[in-house]
Amino acid sequence: MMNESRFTALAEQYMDMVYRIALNASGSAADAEDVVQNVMLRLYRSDPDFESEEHARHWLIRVAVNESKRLVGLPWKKREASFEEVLNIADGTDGLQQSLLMKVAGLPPKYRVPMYLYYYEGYSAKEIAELTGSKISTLQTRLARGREKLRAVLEEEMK
Amino acid sequence: MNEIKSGREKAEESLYRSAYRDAFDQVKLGIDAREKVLGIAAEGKEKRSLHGRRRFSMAMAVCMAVVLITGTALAVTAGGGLKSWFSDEWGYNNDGEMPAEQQQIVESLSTPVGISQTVGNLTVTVDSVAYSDGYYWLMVNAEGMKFDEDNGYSCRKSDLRIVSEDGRELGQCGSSITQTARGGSSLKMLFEGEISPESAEAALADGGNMHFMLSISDFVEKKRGIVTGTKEYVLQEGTWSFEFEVPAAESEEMLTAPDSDAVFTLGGEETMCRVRDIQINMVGIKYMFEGENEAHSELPRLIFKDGSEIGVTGGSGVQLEEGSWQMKYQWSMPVDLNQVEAVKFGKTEVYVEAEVE
Repeated sequence: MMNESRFTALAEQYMDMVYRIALNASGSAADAEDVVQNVMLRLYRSDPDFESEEHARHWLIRVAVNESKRLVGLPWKKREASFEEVLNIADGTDGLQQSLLMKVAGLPPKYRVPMYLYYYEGYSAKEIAELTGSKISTLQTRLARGREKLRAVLEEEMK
Repeated sequence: MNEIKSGREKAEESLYRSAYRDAFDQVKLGIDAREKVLGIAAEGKEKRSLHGRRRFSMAMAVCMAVVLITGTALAVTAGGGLKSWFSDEWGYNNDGEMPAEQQQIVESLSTPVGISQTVGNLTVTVDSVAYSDGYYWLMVNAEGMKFDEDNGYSCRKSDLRIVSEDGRELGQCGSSITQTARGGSSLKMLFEGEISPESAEAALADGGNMHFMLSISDFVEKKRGIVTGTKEYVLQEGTWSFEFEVPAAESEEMLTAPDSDAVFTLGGEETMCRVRDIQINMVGIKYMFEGENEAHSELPRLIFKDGSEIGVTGGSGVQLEEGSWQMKYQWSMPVDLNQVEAVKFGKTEVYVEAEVE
């Protein structure tokens, strides 16, 4: 088991990241919370030997993606995608932010996770392909299509 | 991604990043969920780890051979077929590459064979075999004819006999084959099954090799037609026979898991059953199951520390008394126990017990 202080430090630093990945993957705040619990429990129990900060972040993203896939695939966990839950929780979002979140919510999950990892976490397409176990060509297509679908929200801003 | 971006593309990229940052900076885990996460370590300090290492024996065992066939146009060198097969299966189930440590486990248990026999236009090669604790995986390839992706292929008869060095019968398994061909000029066949624990112990006691004798007869092709249904045609008549040695092996490592109540689904409803005396080694799992008969049709799955998982490929159960069965299953591939996190029964994940310092 991981040392308590080390676990607390990692959990404080990364639990929001894991939550956002899970939310993008599942579309449900409640399911995303379950994923966070599972990922952090896995972190605590397995106590991986991280070589660096980036290694830890990479490991947590990969486990979050895998856990999200498992949870989403479970029949008794399937619920209607509900980013409204997120919007209710995300106090302080203005009109554009809400519009973007609504549009992101409307994207298929296979676009949401790569888009989030690219535009928010700052990973390259190659890195995201490795994290999600996808082919680079598939990943690039998904990023391109995700961008197309979000473009309408941001057109006003670009003008 | 095109490295050279126009000014407009760069502006767009910057706008997306900014918009994502502004939107998702506000998205955080709720306070209650946050406290639950931080409480994980505090709860963990109160629990005790148990060391679980046991030898075990079974009163009975059933010899089963479940054969899977897939056709892929992969070039296979002798001995590499099993690693390639398991890597494909891992990737199919987990959307990612099989970890290096897991590949090493497969390699450490595999014995290259590389024996070929040709009858007519078909050359059949025994590529490799992995064996431990009574369980085996045997990789066989067929080449020389065209295997259509839309058709099915099988052999009318296949038999595997396993005998000790002094000729004592250790196991005999007939099998029926179902397969999927993916086209190209080669077909892969995986034979997997077990010999009884008594035979496995006898083979170890002998201290030598086990003698495998494989016989495959009459390849057939099954063409599926919309109007005509499935019709069977003989692809190549003949018998391909092989004999080769496999070292008897036993894994020293074993994991246990705590006795648990697990939730299974029966007829759309949830039911609680008891799983206990759970023992996991690198080739299979054994446990006692107490509950409704149909519930144990939900097969166990092994969960790894990175969230990957595998299932089982064959197994057997012995009813000891009303509502109580002794179950044993073979994993779909040999596993690296150091990476095992939990085993899943029905909907319930049961974490393996850690070693005591």
